[in-house]
Amino acid sequence: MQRYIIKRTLWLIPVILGVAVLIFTIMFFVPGDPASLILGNTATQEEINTLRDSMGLNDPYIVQLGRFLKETFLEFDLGESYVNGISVAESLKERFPRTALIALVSCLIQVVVGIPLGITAAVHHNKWQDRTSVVLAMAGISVPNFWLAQMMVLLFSFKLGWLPAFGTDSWQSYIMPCFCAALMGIANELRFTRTYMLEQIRSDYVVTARAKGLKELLIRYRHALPNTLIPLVTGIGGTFGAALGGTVIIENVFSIPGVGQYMVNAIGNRDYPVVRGSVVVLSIMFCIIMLLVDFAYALIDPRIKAQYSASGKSKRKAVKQVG
Amino acid sequence: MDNHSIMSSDIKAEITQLKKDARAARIKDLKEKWHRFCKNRTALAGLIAILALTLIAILAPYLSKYSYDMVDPINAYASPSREHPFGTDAVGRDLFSRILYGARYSLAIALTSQAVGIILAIILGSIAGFFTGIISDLIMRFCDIFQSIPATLMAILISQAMGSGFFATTIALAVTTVPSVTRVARSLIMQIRGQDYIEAGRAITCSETRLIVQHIIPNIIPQIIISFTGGLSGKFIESASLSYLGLGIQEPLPEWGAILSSGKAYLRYYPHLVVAPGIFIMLAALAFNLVGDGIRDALDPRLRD
Repeated sequence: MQRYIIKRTLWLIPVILGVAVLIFTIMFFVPGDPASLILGNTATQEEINTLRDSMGLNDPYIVQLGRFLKETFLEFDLGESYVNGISVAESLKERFPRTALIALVSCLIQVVVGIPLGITAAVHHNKWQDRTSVVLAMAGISVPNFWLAQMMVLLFSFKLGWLPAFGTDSWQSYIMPCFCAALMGIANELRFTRTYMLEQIRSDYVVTARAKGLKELLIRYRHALPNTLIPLVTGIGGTFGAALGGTVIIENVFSIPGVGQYMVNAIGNRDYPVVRGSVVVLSIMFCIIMLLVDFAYALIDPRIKAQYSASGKSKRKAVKQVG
Repeated sequence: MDNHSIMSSDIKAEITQLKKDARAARIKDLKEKWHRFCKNRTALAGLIAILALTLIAILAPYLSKYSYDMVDPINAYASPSREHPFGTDAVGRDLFSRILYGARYSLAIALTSQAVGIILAIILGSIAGFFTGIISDLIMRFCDIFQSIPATLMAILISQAMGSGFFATTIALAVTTVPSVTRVARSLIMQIRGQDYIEAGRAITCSETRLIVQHIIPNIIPQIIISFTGGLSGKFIESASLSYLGLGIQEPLPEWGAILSSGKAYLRYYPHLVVAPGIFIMLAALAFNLVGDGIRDALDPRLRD
């Protein structure tokens, strides 16, 4: 088990480096010149060139990439915003908690609401509980989250006046953003859970358990459910990624000063350091969550545990063949 | 000599008969699948909605009274009326006409991006699945890295690097499809690669290319179709999200997300500018989801619930 954890954690390093290189490379090709944007229309070509030199924008790709990696990972310096000169790391430190909060809460809502609904649907297959869940899930995966957000603002803020339409002044400000970022995920989680659970309920071992005369509740929750949870736990990493992406959009709808809004505003200004810094930070967060999910997976899936706790190659091979 | 030629003509006849049988079986199988799909009423409703949408996209100039970019400031912010069924926007453009024309952009982006993404994924997945070794490892590690960046962020970055607009949005959305479908294609191909008929093909000196193109790809097509239709509604919503953020299709082109985006500032006083395009995005996504589920159930009855 320890070997697995170490191996998986070390794998994080090349992945994060690769992510940083990829982000830098994509940003390198973004058209538009930040130097001329900073100096405005009146600047001469000479002035622009001088500024580009001092910003290091005239260096070849590989030099700029090396500098970016060195500053990011050795000096933990994400540079300064081209627009207002404020340190990107400082801004991110202030904004990151809000984004993380929305993403984590919406991920939690997805799991806590979606999985039980999916189980209920599967257990009452083809009854009204199942049909309602399926229809709701279908609606849930078809509604664009930014539109839902606007419709909720229209109803709950403008018509009823119950919730604030934007900002982060109180905890109520987070209700609509979290719900909107979560809805599609709830629906997805419900659909996955229902499918996996149905698969388990129809499998041979459940038939055997029934034949033995086990109680239906025991069969469902002691036998079928744990097997359903294994693929679901693996899926949580992806769920979180989707929630993070949703948060980026939702922040822009509700004017929440988080990383997503920071990044989207920066794109318009060709503010490379801000965009790069934001994406790197969000991706690292995503990678770490994926890492934790893999640990959880290894913990609950006895096959992985067995594979790594067995010492010697022969044993591992044997386990693999069985698994 | 004579004897030999008689035998070979017998064999030839047998082979043509076998081929005929195989074709008949394939047609019967397709008919069965189509029948299964048609029995699913919601999927059929989705299909009809998509066909209607396609017709709207093609016939937009004949269905709408106005052009999508005809400005009429005197009639700005008009509420829905007989003249303007969905009202007009901030510069007096007819929202109904814009939405009809918008179907072209929304549909084209979703279909093209998904098709490009899937084709790229099949190519990469085939290479990674068929040739183990450094290239395969490289492709898979590349997928790992791509998947470590949340898809929405990836789409935003790429659409910007390509300079936003129709082409940029399409490529950005295509790229986000590639890693996951590559994985699916690779694991399918690895399953098939180990089967006896591939071994048999090798024994009669089939080339590797022929094995992949003639024997492996046709066998993964059902799964690939499921991936294709299953992802379409997502592409719809993603493209609308990009345009909503102002990073996808740009004004005055009438993609649905872009229409919604230009109306968002007037939500409080002129909500029709946001409600109407949103309903269309939702209905289109719903139709594609229904058809996607229907096709999945028809092609792979094991997955039906």
